Amino acid sequence: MRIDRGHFRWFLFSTGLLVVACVTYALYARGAPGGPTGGSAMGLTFGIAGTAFMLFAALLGVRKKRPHYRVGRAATWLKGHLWLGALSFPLVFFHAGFEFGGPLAKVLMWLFILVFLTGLFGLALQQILPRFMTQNLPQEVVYEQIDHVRRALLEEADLLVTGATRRNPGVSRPKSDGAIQGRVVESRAVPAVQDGSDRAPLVRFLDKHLKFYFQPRGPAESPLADPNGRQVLFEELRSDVDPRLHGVVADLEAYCVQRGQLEAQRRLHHWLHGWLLIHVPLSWTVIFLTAVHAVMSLYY
Amino acid sequence: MLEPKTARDLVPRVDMTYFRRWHWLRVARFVTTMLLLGVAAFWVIGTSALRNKTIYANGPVSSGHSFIEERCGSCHTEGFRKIYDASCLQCHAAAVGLPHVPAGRGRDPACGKCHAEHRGNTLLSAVEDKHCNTCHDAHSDITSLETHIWFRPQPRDQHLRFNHLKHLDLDLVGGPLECDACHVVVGRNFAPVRFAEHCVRCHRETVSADIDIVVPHGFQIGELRDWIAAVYVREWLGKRPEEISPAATVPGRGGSGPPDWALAIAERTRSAQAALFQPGRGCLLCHVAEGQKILTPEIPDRWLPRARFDHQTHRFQSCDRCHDLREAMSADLLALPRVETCRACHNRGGARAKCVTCHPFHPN
Repeated sequence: MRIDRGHFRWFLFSTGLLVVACVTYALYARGAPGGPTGGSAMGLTFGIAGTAFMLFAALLGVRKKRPHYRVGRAATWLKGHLWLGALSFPLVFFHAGFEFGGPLAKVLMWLFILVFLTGLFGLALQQILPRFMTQNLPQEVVYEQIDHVRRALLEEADLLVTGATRRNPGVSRPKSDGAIQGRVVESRAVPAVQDGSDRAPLVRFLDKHLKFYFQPRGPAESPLADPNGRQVLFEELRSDVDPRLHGVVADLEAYCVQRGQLEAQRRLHHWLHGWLLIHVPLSWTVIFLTAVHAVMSLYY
Repeated sequence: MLEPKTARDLVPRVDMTYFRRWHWLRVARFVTTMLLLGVAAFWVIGTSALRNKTIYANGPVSSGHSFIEERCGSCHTEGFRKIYDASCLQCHAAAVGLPHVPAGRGRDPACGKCHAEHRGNTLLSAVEDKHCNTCHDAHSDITSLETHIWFRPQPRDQHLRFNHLKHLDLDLVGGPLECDACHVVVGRNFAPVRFAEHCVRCHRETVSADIDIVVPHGFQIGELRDWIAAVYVREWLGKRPEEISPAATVPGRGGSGPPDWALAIAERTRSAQAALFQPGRGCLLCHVAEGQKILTPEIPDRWLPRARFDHQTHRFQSCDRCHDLREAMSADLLALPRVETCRACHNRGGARAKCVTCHPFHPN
């Protein structure tokens, strides 16, 4: 989520709360005879507030799994996740009096620091990568669809090369069915134009380069992955085929460009969401250990 | 170029069931979460199974309690409760002793209020000054030894004149004395200086020049006069017993007035007494007389009654480092160190300078 003007009220609220917490902590730490401790009334207050914010931040995952629940907009939850989750960081340190305590508390604090840092890292990526993708990857698809689209593109390329069929652009016509009225697109598959040209170079190119490039590992090893190499290969192909098939060559080149974009998108998506592989498991571990810490600390 | 696609053309590219499948990133996230939770649960349950509860502690216990570090129940007798003082007093009753807060003015705070455990290898007795200031707010300006601007010594007159400088003088007969000739450390303080043990080695007062009998110490003026007279009577008896025979002393036989021998003894007694009680000499060299009474010296055990100083722990320092004897011209002017002297060592980064370093909370 990008930090924009829509976060202003959250920013004001969180900053205000942080200032109040800082002043309270300073007064409390100055007056506490034995120094600030998590077991004191003020320390417990900081701990409870910090834990509440952590829990709210963790509930974002639950909220995402239940998008139909009428419990506020997902964007609001995400903003709350960002700002309240960030606010829990100083509150937890105020609770602990900036001490790391015993073994469990130490582990908890270090995990929490990691959660916070990975969250910051993810937030920083969210400020850069989506904009970059919008500008540089115009043919972006849903990440989970990348493999499916890759296969679909290869099928389309195969059809283009073998000249089996072509789909006409389709015609939009008004249609009504009782009270339901609207426009529908009608299209039909038609055989490709049999122009009598020699398609053997295209078939060879398809078999030799395209099919490999459209494999999952293709972009890593195929010369088509490199824009310069791709340009050279397609120039050679153009010189080999009948000029009447240059349109098909151009289409194949466009498929290759799109394949490249899919791969770039996959890579960027791994960056954009890969940090969650650390952030989310650590977050749940922190919540589990926080519960243990709370119960055992109150017990003893 | 690739011809423009309509939505219908693009339909085959859309997998309508993709949301039903978990992508490997989500699977990996789930598996990692479960794995980490499993490790955390294994750690917690495993340590509980091994009865090792120190992982829940806020930190290591103090060095003094390290032998019960793994026996939580020694102090934590009940779950979800604070630690009772009774747990501490099981071992520390003798050290705590009487209450600190005077009767009728509240109760002593709980042990843990000042002696916070699980703070690592610290000294529990090193209590922070803030604890003291919660009640002694009149001294809230004294936040450290740096702001402790004065000492309040024992104000009373100890009725004794003593010149330290003269006893340390190189020209002293027999050579100058060392401090420990009189001041012997016993425990934290010094044993009292006693005439019979220390002073008598040099200060032997005889009755008079003509008879070498040492004057006993500890008599009042009247008692001393009688004692001197008795000495002279015994001496007279030894030399001319017939003059003091019972027959010679029968009233009416020896004429009027006291006999000559009695007058002579009275005169010698007066003379000896005058010699002993000359101002600044004899008994009055050290003692103070008021009329016919020698005032009993009142030398306090501790010159700073509100504080505790441990001479034993300072034994590696030379005495004159703290006690400036130039100020000790007489016993009235004590050679007590000033607070600046203490600050030279007791400062931040140096020796401890907490309230309780000098002012113990527990009377014992």
